[in-house]
Amino acid sequence: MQLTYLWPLFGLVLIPGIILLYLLKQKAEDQKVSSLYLWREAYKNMESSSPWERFKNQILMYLQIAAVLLFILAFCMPILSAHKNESEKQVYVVDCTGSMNAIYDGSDTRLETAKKDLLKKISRLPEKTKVTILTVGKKVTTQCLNEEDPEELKKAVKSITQTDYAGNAQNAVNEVAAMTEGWKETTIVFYSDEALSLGSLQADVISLNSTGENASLDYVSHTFHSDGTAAILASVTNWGTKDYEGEINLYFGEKMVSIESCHLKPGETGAVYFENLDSGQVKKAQENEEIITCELNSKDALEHDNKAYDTLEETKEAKVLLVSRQNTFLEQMLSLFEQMTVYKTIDVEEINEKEAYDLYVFDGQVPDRLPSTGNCLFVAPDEEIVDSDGKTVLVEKGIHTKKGTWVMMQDDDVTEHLEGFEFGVNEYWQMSVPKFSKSFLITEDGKKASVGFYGSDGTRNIGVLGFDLHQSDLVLQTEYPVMMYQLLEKLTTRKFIPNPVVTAGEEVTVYPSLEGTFRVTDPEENEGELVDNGVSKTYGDTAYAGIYHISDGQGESKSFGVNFPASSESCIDRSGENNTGKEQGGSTQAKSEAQLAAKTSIPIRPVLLGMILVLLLAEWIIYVRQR
Amino acid sequence: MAKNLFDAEFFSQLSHAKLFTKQRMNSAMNGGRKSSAKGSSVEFSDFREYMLGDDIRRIDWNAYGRMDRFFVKLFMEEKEGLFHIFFDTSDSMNYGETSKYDQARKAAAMFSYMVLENLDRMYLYPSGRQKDSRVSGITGRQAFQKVLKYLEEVPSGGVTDWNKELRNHSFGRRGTVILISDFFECESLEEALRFLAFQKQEVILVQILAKEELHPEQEGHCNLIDSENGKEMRVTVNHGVLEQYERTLSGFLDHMRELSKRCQASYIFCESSDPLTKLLYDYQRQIPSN
Repeated sequence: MQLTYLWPLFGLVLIPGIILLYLLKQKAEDQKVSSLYLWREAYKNMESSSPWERFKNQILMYLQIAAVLLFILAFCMPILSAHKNESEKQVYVVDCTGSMNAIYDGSDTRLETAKKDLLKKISRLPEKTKVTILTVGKKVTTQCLNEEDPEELKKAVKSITQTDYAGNAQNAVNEVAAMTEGWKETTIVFYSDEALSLGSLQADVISLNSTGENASLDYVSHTFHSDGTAAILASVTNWGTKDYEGEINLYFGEKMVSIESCHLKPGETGAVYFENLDSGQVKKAQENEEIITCELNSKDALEHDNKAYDTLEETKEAKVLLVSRQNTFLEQMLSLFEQMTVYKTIDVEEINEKEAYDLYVFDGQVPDRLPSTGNCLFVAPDEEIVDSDGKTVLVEKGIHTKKGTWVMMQDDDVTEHLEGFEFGVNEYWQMSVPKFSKSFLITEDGKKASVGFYGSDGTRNIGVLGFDLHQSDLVLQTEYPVMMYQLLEKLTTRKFIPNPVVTAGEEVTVYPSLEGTFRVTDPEENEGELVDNGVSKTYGDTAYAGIYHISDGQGESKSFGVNFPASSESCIDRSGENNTGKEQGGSTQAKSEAQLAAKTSIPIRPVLLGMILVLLLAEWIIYVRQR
Repeated sequence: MAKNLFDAEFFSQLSHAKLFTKQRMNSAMNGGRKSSAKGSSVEFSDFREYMLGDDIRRIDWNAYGRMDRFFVKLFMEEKEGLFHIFFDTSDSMNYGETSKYDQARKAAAMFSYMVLENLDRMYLYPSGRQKDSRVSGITGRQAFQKVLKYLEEVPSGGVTDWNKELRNHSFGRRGTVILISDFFECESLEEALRFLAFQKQEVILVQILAKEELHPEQEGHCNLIDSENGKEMRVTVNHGVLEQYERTLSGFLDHMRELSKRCQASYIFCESSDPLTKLLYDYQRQIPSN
């Protein structure tokens, strides 16, 4: 038996009151006896002179206490488990996405409410119940699997932290269905504010959906005017049911530079412009690569979406020099880059050393030594590649193999979305991959030779394709521009943090100029490390919206901003989502628990009420007889 | 109260009453009791040889015929017995649906009847009364009416202390003391009985208890008030307490029997609602006629 509510237990204070009433009510009746001699002698041997002795014959009092106890028990709404084996295995899925940070019942968030309820359930678990706890954030994570120890389970629940991930608890339904397929009599409970479609899965949903006023800052962007001034745009959405009226603060770094007011009707999205900004401040923020922050002044049900970030980055066009006798495929491909200006020359000898380019593309030619700056892409290099000092050989000369073969993709950022793609080459240069490089193309013949690799030697990025594009059917495939685009992205990007504003859950790529251990501090003051990814390093634990700081411990420190996924998580009232067979949102927790109790358990309150009636009847009969 | 105390039923029960005593009387007065002296009663006692001066009408001629010598028949001398009847008039006796006090007075009347019927002398003492309120030294059947009138009129009240009460008496010669009471003050009773034995008094203890004392009907939380001294006692009466009471009562009655045996007294117990015949039979069982 389990008690749904515990607050009626406060009613137990009535019991001492009843006993006290009987104590006060009892008046000893005067009775004359011939002598106290025998009574005194009798009482000498009795221990019945205790104050409790007088209650022995108070059957009415006992009946009243029993009735009060049954009343209290009835109010606690006790339930009997409907399935005997239900307790063997239980699975709890807790939604930890951004919308679960909304205030649920005055002070606690939805996630905190879910955790409290789950802790309560764990404390009432029968012995040897195997409990699995899953959380849904960016992905479905297992907190504990078939754990029997209540203390471990409580630890696991307490370790569930809020995140600002955009996620879909619906994904967990399929995972749980697959996981519990072989399990018999498993109780599955979802804590979510989403309306879930359970399909054939026998599970219960405790809906934590609620209504409330919420406005979100969806994103912040900027534009530079021709006169050098900048304007900043903040997109605001009112997700509530009442008109929103508030102010938006604009910060450059930690300094507030402007305030604008905003008025939105329910469901409306509006843009707020910050114009006439001080050009000096703008320039300074631009130079210092400061994070700019927009913040809604007024508090609402979900505060995590009240800030959004941006950087005042001016997009520069990259200069590319194509050194090729004639290669339409390369020219066409390079023309796809909007922010890239392509210059062409036929021979390496014609390269002007004074003209610096961001990227050099050498097609079938190799200079005696590399230019002093700039990244390089070599297509079918027939010589060794020597650094700008004229001595250091960066890439050895390859062995020309005139034998057709298939080339397959290796798992890499360059081959992202191209898994399983193959193409044929008529001839190729079998090259040894330098230490600073990563291979992404490999032949399928017995040599398994690398015909495509890239890397950074510390000063520049170098990429090599070991075959002539004319001797390959790659250029005829639709995957060709995708692969080349991704390769050139890798070769041209050299900023420390190319994309300093991401949405929670997205990965941040970092290009450190020096090797070292970089520490990342998130808005919750947790520390993490960058994951080395060859050319770049990445940081994926962007669980919280806010500003993150990367430091190398030697003075270099950069920041990046993580925006709340407002478009998917800021709508806190999800009762409007129409899903067949879903739990109806918009209900209170009590209602949801009542529904849950009705589905999985046998309520014994009617039995208790019947017993109370019998007790009261018996009490009345006894009272009348005593009178 | 006393209007119908001695009714027709009472008198019908008295017809069987006869008071016996273990003692040989040594009173100077003639009476109806056997004595150690030889006299002129009709009851044969012994033979002795004829002496000069004996009444020749008492010569046993049959013995002379057989033995050719003169023998004279001797007969017993009958003396009057002396009885002191004490009855408890304290407030504790005035208790019960059938009052213990009424039963005590009936018992006193019965013993008085038996004494007077047997031509003995008696004294009737209500406890705690002055000497002038007693019935003293009466004898003869005609005095019985006086006894009854007295018993009907004597009021109850006060406290009884038998030791003190008896020690204030001078019993004089050998006799019988009948104590009629509930004997709840039994601490000093043994001392009193030893005093009576010293005074060469045969003692008959008649203990009367009410039905309510033998089988108390109290229950729950009550405040018991002692009828004699007004002291109070708060008790919660339940099954356990009643069992303990019954055990205590049984011990009390056993103590009375033991005390009687120890002090060579006769002990008769009766309930206030018992008929007098029961008291009489119990008495005759205790002191059979000799």
